[in-house]
Amino acid sequence: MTNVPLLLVSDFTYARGGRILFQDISFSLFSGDVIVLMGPNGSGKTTLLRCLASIPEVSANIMKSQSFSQSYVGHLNGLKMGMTVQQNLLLQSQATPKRVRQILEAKGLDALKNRFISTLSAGQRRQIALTRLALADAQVWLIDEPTTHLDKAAAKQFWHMLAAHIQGGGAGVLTSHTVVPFSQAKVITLHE
Amino acid sequence: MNKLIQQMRQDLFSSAQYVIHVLIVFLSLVVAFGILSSSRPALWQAFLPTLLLGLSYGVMSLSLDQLFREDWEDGTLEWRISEGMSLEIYVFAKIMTHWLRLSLPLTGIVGIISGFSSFPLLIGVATSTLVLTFLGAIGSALCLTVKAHTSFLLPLLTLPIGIPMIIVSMGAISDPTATTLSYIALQGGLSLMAIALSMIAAPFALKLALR
Repeated sequence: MTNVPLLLVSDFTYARGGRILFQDISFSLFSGDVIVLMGPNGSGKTTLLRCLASIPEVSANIMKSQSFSQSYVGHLNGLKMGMTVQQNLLLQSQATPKRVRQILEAKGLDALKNRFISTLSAGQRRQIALTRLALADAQVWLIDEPTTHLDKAAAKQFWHMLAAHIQGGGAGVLTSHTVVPFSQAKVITLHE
Repeated sequence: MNKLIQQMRQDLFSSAQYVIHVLIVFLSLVVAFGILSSSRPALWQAFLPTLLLGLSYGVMSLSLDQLFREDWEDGTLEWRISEGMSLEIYVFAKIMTHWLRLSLPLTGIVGIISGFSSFPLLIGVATSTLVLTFLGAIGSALCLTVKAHTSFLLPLLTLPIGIPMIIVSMGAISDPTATTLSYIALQGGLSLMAIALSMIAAPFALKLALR
């Protein structure tokens, strides 16, 4: 763990349509950290995660270190239905065909390589979206409800993947409705 | 630059089926008009350039609803932005690929139907659809958060601002006294205006939708 945070959120307030979604959120994310955003539906977990990913806009209250790099998997998987699994993964800027093949093999998903996304189940699509994280070589993973649609085995595989990422000096921010099997995870609870 | 090319490559090779549908609609309408005016070949000859230009404009405007919607609905837009792609690059890539994959085949088909006899017609189809795509991108981005599909709302939004382009293109086809170059210059000027306006307004509209 280093003393320089990868991500520093200070007194962050977000309002939409005249309604304050969350107020004065402050936390810092260091290398090796996992932060879990929890809270009831509508409390702003996904919005906060999107803000961290700079999707709505860049906020002065969210500071990122110079070495910060991110990979984001949202509630929607961001996969093109009319393209195959391999073609989708190759859209990741760091991806090469060899690397895609290796990662799919390592995750036991190589049988899906040439299948169109539209022919996959919701769980399989989620697995492919999460596989993108491993391709990105990003330091911080931002994931919205990572285990949605996953069966037990696939969920377990994801937690192993996240653990390996953390051990390798990465960090992650997740949203979740349930307790995550990560003893060192810091939980931030948002209220409606 | 790499991201721009990557986005354009992705769009060029996806949704080919949709492009084919639009081209089939265009051809069906031309054939229908051809059958209706088969008893009056002189009228058909006189009316054909205007018909081709009008139909090109029409099918392009109906297709604009899809410009950002697919990426919006499958999460690709969010993903692209999170990957660090600027909205301006994204918008430009989407517009150019939409125009390349739809307007170029349309211009080719118009050329074949008209026997490549009218250069102003081909320039008119290519530039008026370019202007329409840039202007339509603003409407398409504004309509993203509307839950219902807006295929018929968008032409209503874009038609009034696209009318000057139609008038200029029609003029180029039907005015035998004018030099082609003057019309091309006018069409080029309108295209530049549409690009400048769209590259400010469409990313801003997308930014609002992403909030």
